[in-house]
Amino acid sequence: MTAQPVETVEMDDAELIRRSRDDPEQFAALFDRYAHQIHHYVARRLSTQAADDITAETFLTAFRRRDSYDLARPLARPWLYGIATTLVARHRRDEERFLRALSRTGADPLPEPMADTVISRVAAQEEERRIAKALAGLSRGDRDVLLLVAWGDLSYEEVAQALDVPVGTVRSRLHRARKKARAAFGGDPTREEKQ
Amino acid sequence: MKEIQRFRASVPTITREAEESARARLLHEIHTPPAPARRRLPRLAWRIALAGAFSVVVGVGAVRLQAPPTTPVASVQELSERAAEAAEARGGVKPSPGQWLYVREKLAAPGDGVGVNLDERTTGEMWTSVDGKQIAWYQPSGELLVQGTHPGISAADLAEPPITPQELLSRIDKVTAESMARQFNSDGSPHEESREQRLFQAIYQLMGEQALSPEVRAALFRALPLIEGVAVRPDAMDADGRQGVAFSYTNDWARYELILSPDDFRYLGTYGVTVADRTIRYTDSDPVFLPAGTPLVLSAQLKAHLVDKAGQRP
Repeated sequence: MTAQPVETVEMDDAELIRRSRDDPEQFAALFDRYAHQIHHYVARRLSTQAADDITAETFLTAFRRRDSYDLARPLARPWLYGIATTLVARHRRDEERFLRALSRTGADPLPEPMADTVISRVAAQEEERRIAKALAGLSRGDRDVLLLVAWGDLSYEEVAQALDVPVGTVRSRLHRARKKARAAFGGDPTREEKQ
Repeated sequence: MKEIQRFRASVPTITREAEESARARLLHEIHTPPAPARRRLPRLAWRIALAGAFSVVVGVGAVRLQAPPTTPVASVQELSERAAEAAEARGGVKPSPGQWLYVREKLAAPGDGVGVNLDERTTGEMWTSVDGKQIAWYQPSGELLVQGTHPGISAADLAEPPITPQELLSRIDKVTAESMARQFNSDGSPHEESREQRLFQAIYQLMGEQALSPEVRAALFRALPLIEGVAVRPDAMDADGRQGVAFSYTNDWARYELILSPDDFRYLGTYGVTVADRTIRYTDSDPVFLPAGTPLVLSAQLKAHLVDKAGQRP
């Protein structure tokens, strides 16, 4: 079931995709490079169960669209995150319901970090509730931008590529998302993030 | 913001199983020319495939695969005990003979061919007699169809004392072994399935479809850790988008999950997904290839209520 290993260490994503147009097997190496992080991002937004399926769908979709990949972009990360984000969007009602429920009850079924005292657990739960509330209050477009930056670690330019919007739009959505999130969360508005 | 960066950062990483399923689906796509026309199963056949044993349509090898542990056994014990205590504390209305349990569910809609489409939902209603022996639902024609149900063990049979986890397992074992001996796959091969598979599946179905007393429900929860290979998945979701914690069982073809609410351990729904490639052969239509990672079922129980007649809504 596993593909034969192909010497891909020196090849960037664009070269891999270029070769996969005539030799489709090569595409599997892209999966090995990115499946874990795509899954992690989606699992945080929805659940590991949804992420299992969406991860598979992301690479299937990417494979089917490989002919239209812009080979001038050496890294496929933004492209893949963009596809995953579109698939997450289909579950937006589930995501919103989950965030709203979490903001009310704080009952995230995730395993608790080790060595948590009771006090820090309560504080962590309170923080989770406020963050969930802050995220639930954002529009989907703003939330996508915020989480691609915060969780996907994408630059403005990469987010623009992922979502196929101008960089200016990314900047303004991020600014609005941060402002709203801070207001809902009650954090320090004077704290500046690096970009 | 640092807080947002921390939020849900401890989500479990992709399991080896899920990763291999996803890779398998990609490789299948890579190796296959454009998909052949896949016939949609008639709706009733699909419904029977769900209401009855899942493996009716599949030839399953005789080897019992040890399910990869997703969490330590201690967690299965813990979940089982907490779910059992919650069921006991919750209590329940005692059904009168002749009543039916009305269940309304949200389901992922059938996909092309076997399996379901996770992007679409449909709602299903069904009635189960409180003796557990019959199941009924409305056909598209409007006619109510009533028939005998798997696993052939009823809520009433289970409610006979002594109601202990071991005793219930042995009753379920006996009935499902007998009914399996009478079944053949649609390609004519004899139906073989591990004892663990039969037991888990029966419990899974009983919880979703039948009117179980709190004692029986609690005993079934306590029976789950006694089935080898049953594990816990802490991060499951039902068809209604409700997050839950699940008991899971994986055989050599598919993983099934019994999803509970993480707050009060109420039954929420089920999820099933294939973990290996399989070609399903029918006697009267073309074989169907299912790659690993094909979702088989996703359900959410929206309402469960006793009524006096099949076909009646509360």
